[in-house]
Amino acid sequence: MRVWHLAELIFQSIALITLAVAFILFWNFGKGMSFVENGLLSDTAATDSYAVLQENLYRMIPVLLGSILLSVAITFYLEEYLAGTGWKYQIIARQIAILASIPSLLYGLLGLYFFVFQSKKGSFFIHALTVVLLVMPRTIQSTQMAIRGVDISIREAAFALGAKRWRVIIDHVFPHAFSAIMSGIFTVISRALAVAALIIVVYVWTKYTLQSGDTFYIPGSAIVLLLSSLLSSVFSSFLAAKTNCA
Amino acid sequence: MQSQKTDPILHIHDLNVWYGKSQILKNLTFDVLPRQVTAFIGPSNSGKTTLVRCLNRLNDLNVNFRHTGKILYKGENLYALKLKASKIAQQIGIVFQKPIPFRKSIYENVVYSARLRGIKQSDQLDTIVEESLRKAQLWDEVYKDLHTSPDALSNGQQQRLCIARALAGDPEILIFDEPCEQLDAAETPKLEAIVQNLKNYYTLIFVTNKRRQAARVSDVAGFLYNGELVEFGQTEQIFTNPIDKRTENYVTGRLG
Repeated sequence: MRVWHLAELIFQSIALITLAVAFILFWNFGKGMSFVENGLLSDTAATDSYAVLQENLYRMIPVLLGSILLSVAITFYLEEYLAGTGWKYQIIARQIAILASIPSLLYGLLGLYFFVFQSKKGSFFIHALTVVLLVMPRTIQSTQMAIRGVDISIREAAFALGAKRWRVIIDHVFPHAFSAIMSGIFTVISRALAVAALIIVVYVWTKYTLQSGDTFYIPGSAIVLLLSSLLSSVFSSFLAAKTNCA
Repeated sequence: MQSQKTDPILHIHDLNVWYGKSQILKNLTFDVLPRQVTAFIGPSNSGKTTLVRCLNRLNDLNVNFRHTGKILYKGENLYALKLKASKIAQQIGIVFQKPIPFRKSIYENVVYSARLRGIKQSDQLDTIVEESLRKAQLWDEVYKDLHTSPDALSNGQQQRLCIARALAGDPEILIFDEPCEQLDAAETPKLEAIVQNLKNYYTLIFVTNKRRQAARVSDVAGFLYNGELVEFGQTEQIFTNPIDKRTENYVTGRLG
């Protein structure tokens, strides 16, 4: 079993780092990376682009709220119905833990790329995906902690009276976990808003510092730090998931 | 009427239980007769709680639980696929060691199990609340405060509230899993009196590690030791003339 855990860890590390490298290479060498080519630095285009950015951010609010509600529902299903299935639950829980442990900055870079450099109408689903990636794993993880915090004896007392599982969830688990769930949700929202602020700051900064014809590259040292951070978060989440699922 | 008295309500045959790889119960076979108090005694970790959690399928919640053998409730296999655990739990109630009132009013706590049975009419619910609280000898103490939180009740009163809540579900069998473990000396005789009274209406299974208490409240007793049912018989015989040496050592206080 230890060999299997190690193999899973190595596979996940390789997969995530490959994705990160592909993303950065695409960023640095892909076509259409130049601000001028996108017309971002010309006054009118920049104004339009900023408007599009704002519009996209506003459009993401329902996606944000939807992701949170969906995450809470998914977590209840995972913890209350799937937790007894052993390996299926463990695999899903580990993947969620890994996604949740990835630093927000990486999602911020994704957001920056899709919201700012690729901002155009019709890319709603890509924007939504960024928000979903940023919000869902962390909401699921914080909701998991809230649900696990409910005393097992409360559930047993309700089951012992003949309550069905859905009834135990609605009558007991949810009311007991509610405060902790809300606390987790507000933490996630605060992080998501901070990342949104970061996107706006970087956008404004690049608008005034880059000259016409410049291309915005990610520096090599930043790439090394990001990859190290990614590797570290994979190890961290792997160990955490292993402990939680034991 | 005579045959109803003698037909077992529960028939356990060759029951083995494991949690993961560790075997907790070994080859248990016994019958539980209706309208009697059947006590299970034994030192800690002898398998008493595991046994009673098999009887109302609470062990289903444990993913590592595995069993072999038969548990027949009124002749029907308790673990048959067609029987749902929630239905079994409605017929075989349990009162735990620690009182666990829900975060609801006293009234709502009691009607919870009645509502699970599908009873919705308020006058019917009111009657069930009064009857259940009276059977649990709590009515006189709380009838003025039915719509307040049970948090203000003493430990013993909370335990009696849990008994009333279990009774409101109208079970046929009621299991008491070391119900006096966290009660003070004044509350214990009250609970024993409740058990004696409930015997007239329900089949009771009483788990305890207090030998004298088992002798006082039960009609039939079984001694569990290391997952084995060492001896099972009339309480008087178990406590005055045990067949097995280990039972004798336990009831005389030389073991456990």
